[in-house]
Amino acid sequence: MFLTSNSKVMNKIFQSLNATKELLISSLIYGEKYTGKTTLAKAIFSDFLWVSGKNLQEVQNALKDSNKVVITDFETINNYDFLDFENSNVVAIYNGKSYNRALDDKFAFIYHIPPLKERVEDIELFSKYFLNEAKELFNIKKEIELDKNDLDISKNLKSLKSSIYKAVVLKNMQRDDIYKTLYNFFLKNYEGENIYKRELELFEKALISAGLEIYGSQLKLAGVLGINRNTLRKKVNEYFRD
Amino acid sequence: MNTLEIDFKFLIENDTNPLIVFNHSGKILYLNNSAEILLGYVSHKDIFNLALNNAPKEYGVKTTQMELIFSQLKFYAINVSYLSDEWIAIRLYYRPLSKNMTKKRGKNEVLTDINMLLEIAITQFKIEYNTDIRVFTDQDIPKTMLNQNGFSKLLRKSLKAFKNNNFLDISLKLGVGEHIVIDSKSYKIIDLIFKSKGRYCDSDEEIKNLCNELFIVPNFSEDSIFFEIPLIRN
Repeated sequence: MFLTSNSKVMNKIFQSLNATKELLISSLIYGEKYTGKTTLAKAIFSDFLWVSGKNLQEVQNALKDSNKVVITDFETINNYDFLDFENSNVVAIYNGKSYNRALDDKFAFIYHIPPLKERVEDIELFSKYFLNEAKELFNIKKEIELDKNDLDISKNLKSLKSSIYKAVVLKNMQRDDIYKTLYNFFLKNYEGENIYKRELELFEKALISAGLEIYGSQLKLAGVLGINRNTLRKKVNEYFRD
Repeated sequence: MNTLEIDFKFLIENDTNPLIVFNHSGKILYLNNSAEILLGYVSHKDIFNLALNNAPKEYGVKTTQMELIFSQLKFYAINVSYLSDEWIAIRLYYRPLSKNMTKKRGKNEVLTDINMLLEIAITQFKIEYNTDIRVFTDQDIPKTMLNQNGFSKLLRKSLKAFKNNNFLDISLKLGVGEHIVIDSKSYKIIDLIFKSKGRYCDSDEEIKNLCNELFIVPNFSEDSIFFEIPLIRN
């Protein structure tokens, strides 16, 4: 099994690519950015000569010097005529939802790496992986539960990773961290008028919103907060009128 | 050694010439592997009628030379036999064929396991399409000199011609009595057949061009693509 994916499609691609490793065959791997194309290629072709399509001279030299070449950023190459893949095993990594159809005649096999939204098994796998990575980095021992809303897969693995890191940080802030965060925020945002009223919302809105979620009724919450229920109602109307 | 110990059924089963045994009403009592492929191209009723029309007058065997063409399958003779009124057998003999190519062979050929490339191509095809693929392949086909890149492209494009079909039958076997002459040297033939209920024809020209580079003879029909690949050992 391909160790960095739980997806059936990804594992079939892995099997197929792996079988071509010792052959003189050119393969194109295409798909959106950050879908794991490079990771997949590295799992199989780590001993190949790796070059970027951004440097054409380097690509040409690599194809002359070696018959086992991986070309990354292949979408940046415009002229394919000078690329001779005969008698070589060439793997090209192409960022894009679709590829230039001229490449149909250039490559023996063409693989599409599906975006993360089409690989539900992988969302779960990578979420766990990034969560553990973030916990280790921030030295967090306690369990953290991720909500679906915490996960952003709009930019595949890149946005998933950053959304999980963000969630981990937010879910573990202590009073001191919040104070420092607010302090830094205010330092950068001390502009305009009525600053007190504007920025107080940051504190009050969050406090009331969380309280309403916990206690349900405004009457009960007013008691817990130790403020008049009319004052609370006024603030609820002000902050949550939409 | 006693000849009774020889498994003649096994030999018949794997004979490359089709053999079918019918009962008196045309129901199939037995067919060998090659006959299964044949019946993908012609109805068993037609073969039964062919047997009846060419049966010997008395119990025994009658061989008739005739040219029979069922799509890309070509035969030069049939042999009809019966020893009782309960069954009648027909055997069809593939036509020996010779094709000539005068150009020199390519430089980028290496000894290649066609079965392996076919397997990779099918795996890749099945990632994108749900076509049910049945493969009838002779796993003992020797490696042959091929341009692996070009041949893999040919496989990909050929499979794609059958995309969105419910099923696709692929057969890979050694051709019988057929050979291709390339640059004055004669080579046996490997038959690779893709067959379904219909297919896309838009890549036929590209397939032809690839075949031309690869010394492969392509044959096209509405529902199949048939390649004759030279078996080159060195």
